[in-house]
Amino acid sequence: MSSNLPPSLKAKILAQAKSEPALKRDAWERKSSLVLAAGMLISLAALLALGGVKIGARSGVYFSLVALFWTSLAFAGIKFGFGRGKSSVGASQLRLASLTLGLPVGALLTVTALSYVFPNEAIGAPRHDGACAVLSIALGIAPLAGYVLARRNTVLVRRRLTAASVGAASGTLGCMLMVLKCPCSELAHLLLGHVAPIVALAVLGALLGEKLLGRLTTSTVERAR
Amino acid sequence: VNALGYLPTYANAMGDWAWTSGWAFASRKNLHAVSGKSMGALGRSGSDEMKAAPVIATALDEAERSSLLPEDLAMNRYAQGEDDALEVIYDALAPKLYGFVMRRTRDGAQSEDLVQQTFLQMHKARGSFIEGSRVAPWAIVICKRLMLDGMRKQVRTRKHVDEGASQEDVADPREDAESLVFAKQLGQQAAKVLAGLPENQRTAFALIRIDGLSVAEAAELLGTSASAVKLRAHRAYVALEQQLGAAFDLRTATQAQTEGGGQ
Repeated sequence: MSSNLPPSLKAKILAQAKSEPALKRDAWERKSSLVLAAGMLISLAALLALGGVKIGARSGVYFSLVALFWTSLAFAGIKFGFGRGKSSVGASQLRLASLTLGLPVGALLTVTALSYVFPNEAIGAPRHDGACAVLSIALGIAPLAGYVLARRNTVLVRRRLTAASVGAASGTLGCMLMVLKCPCSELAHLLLGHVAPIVALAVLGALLGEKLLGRLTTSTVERAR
Repeated sequence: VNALGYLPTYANAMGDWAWTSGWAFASRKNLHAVSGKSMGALGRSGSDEMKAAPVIATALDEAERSSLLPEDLAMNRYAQGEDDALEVIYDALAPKLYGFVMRRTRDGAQSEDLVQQTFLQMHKARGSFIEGSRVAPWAIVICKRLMLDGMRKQVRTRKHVDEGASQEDVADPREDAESLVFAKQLGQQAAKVLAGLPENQRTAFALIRIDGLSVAEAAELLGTSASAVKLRAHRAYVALEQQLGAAFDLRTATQAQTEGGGQ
């Protein structure tokens, strides 16, 4: 079948490639990193606009541990969820699935363990499950959008799972920020307002991943026809 | 499998594959030899191969992983801005991509068009190519995506392609009509067998045997290890061998009968 390829095709492709500008790797990576960073900075700015970090009635030790565990989780999410791995067609199914499941489970274990170790932290603070959940999702949306913008036109095989894992990573980041702001330490509140949004964003990513990451910029392609 | 777009075209692809790989001419006994680089080339019985497969796969794994092909290195240079490298990539990948599309569309013009689009898309996205990764899986995914987009557009505009008529069928100069028919029948039968296999085995087999990807390339595309891909492809191969063996036996018997009657 290879012999059926006309020799003119090669010349045509080479000529078109020369005439069409395309980013080199260093420029692409710079642009991509900037977009990803912008998504995260928007979340951070939004947190500051909402009043920033509040320790409230939480003890210093408890708050430090909360900050340490949640920051570690969010860092792991960013590193493995937003990182590109070794293959141009995306990370392996195992890695993506582990991340998608691992982050909410990690958050669940963190809040449960801390509530068990610090039972008295739960007393007194006002509880707004819905508001915290909505704000956590809102804070997670910007990094997710940043990822979609930065990675559009990359070719991923497991788009749904990739988007789910990035959704979980973004959700973890959003929830981490909200946990630092929200002084309520009741386990039920933490589960509903600060862990459930991770799942919600992972599900959102899974639902929209195919569409969001499946689009190729076709300007070049259309012109070639 | 559906995600990779194989299922609807198995019968045609398997027919071609059966023809080109020599299955149509092979007797059951020398199937292993015909299969070339497969683990079946060890010439053992099916169950022995199944046991031996992981060991062999592991031994070959590291060598395959560490050895990037010239086109992979060329793509890396191209991503860094060395424009001349595109020629090397074209020479290595264009036939592969053309074969990949042709087996699915059976339309020469459309296949050329898709190869062109794929290369332009690769050019456009060259900055996103990860250093050290393989270019063939990446190119095939782009090609497949463009092909599916094109098919969707065709469906939308109600331009149905006549799947039965293909330029290749008309212009094919194959002289041995009987073997051609046998290859087609074998292809259909193989497609049926493959359709009954687990998805991971079917996909691994199709990528390596039909699309001509290396084990390492298929592993990258499937997001798993080379040894896992080998094992899956091997299992599919063994299933095919078992199922199609009867067809070979029947053909051999018929041929012997015909030759005996002729004499």
